[in-house]
Amino acid sequence: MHEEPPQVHDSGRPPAREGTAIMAPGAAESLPARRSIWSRARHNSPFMFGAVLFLIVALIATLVPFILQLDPYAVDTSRRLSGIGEEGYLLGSDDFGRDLLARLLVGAQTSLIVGASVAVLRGVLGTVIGICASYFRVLDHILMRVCDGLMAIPAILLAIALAAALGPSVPNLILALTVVFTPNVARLVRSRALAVLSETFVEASRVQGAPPLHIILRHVLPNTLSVLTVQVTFIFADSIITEAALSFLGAGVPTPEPSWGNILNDGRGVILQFPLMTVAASLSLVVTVLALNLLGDGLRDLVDPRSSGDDTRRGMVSRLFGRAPRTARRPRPAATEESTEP
Amino acid sequence: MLTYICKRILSLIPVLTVVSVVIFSIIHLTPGNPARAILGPEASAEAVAALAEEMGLNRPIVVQYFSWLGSVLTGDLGYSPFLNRPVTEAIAGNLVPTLQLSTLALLVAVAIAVPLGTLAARYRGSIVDSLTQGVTLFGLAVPSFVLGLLLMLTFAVNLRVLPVAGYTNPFTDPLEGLRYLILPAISLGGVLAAFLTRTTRAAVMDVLMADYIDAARSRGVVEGRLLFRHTLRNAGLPILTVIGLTFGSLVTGSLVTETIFNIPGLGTLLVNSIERRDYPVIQGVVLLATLLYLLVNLVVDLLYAVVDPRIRYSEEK
Repeated sequence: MHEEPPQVHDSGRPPAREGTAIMAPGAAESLPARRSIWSRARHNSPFMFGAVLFLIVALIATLVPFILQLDPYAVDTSRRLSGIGEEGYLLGSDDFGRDLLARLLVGAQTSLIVGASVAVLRGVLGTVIGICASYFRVLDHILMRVCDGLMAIPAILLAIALAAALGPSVPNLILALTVVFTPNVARLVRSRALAVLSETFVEASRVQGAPPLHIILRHVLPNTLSVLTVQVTFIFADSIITEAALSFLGAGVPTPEPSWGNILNDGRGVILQFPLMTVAASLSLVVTVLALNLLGDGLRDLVDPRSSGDDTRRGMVSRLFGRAPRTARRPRPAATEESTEP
Repeated sequence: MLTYICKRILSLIPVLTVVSVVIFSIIHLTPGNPARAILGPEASAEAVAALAEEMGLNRPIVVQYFSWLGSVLTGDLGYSPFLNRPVTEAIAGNLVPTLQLSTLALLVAVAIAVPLGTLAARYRGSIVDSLTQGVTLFGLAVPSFVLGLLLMLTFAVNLRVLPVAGYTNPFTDPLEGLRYLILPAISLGGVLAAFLTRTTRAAVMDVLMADYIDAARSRGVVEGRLLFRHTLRNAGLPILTVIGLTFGSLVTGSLVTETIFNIPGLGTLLVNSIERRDYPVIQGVVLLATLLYLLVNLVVDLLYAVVDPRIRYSEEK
């Protein structure tokens, strides 16, 4: 069988990356002089694509409702379920005669606000818990058992139960999602922090008499931030999906307020007459999540050029965008011999 | 081996303790009196007081926790005032469709992911690989309920080849039952398949680099046999892990998918209970799903030890 040719970097990848491509992981220290972050970012197509896409979504969601003076709550039962461009509705109207475009865009704001708040809260809380656990051994056992327990409960279920108990509202939803997902971040930060704490420079700092706070702020925190930044992007995407699922099930954003989950829920009732509602809300959700996943993938490569790009989590766009495989590859026997039947 | 099993089961105790505390707390997180929350604002003060008494809400919280834990351990998940029957009964009545859906979805996922991931790894960099990577990237961005709605739209609403929603037990009427379950299973399994394909690809790629594969190839082992006998068997461990890990998302996913397709499973029960504020049922469903998840992971861990002796020995040391 034909063996793949060495990946051609037609996407303008910097030569430094090619170096990492064929070198064993860990050999990245010998990379040529580092390029600036911006220059590397520009050459990282998933990152740029994700960032631009996300920026577009965010801009449209914040600016368009304001410019067009759209009202997502205005009910007009005489103009129910009108199609695209009919009755003065750009994207038609829903089963209550509300402007679908307005609801989608304001729903985007809700989704983005929930996603961003959860991402930030989880990032901060997870970092504090993770670093405390890594530094104070007694706390470690307690905190990690609690995290294990919380992680054992399927995430959406716990979020549903919490949101149902707290009552449907956006702040409660954010609270529920934060509680449910913080343990993952805490675990991640803890393992990274433990690795940093065992480094020689931390030992040196400790020997010089540095107080714990100094070691944490000066050494541990900066070295965990890169892992965290990447994770926060994925959390953002996760939160948006979970928020939509919860709202869809009626345990998320309370009803008259628009959110993609609510629109999907409303759309399901009229899926036979007005499928556009389902399609439009699904597309918005998928595009946003895709943008965030791409952004996260790109970011991971930016902050850690040695990251093995494959199975780790979601979204590996390597092939699509001509990224070189970064694991060590050994030369293969000549292609023609491989498939010859004995 | 026995030591390993015991160790592994003992390690579940702290996890289960935390889980029980969290699930017990759900009902006490409600703002104000839980009895009031269950009965709603219209209920009379007497009715609220009576329910609170019946549920033992007037006792100290620690006492409540241990009595709840005691009854859970004996298999009593409480009583649902709305369904007017024990929670265990309500769950048992709704469990079968959920299990059928999850199993079918898992089959769909494995049937798609393993061949696709293996091929993508074997023909790395080819058009098959690029396509696989692109499709899985999209697959990961589509939540299962969105995929479900879109599938419903395509196959049930537009093409009219499958029923829009509903459920028939496949054990009583296999053909009709499958017709109802196939869309939910694909929408649930499809998302899992995206994830699993990537894992399979990575795992197979790792194994393909091993020396014994070159050795087998140089002995003249046919490519198909090499791929499916020599490679896939050894790539099985990471694939198995991911199946175990994603089981949780499979259960929760099936709960969401059920509500889309009106399947009378645990999900429908849960969603209706949220609307009714029927906390004992919510607690019961969450508890059951968590136990199922932990159990599956335990089984996966034990399977490992059976499949790979190295794990067994390193743990026993």
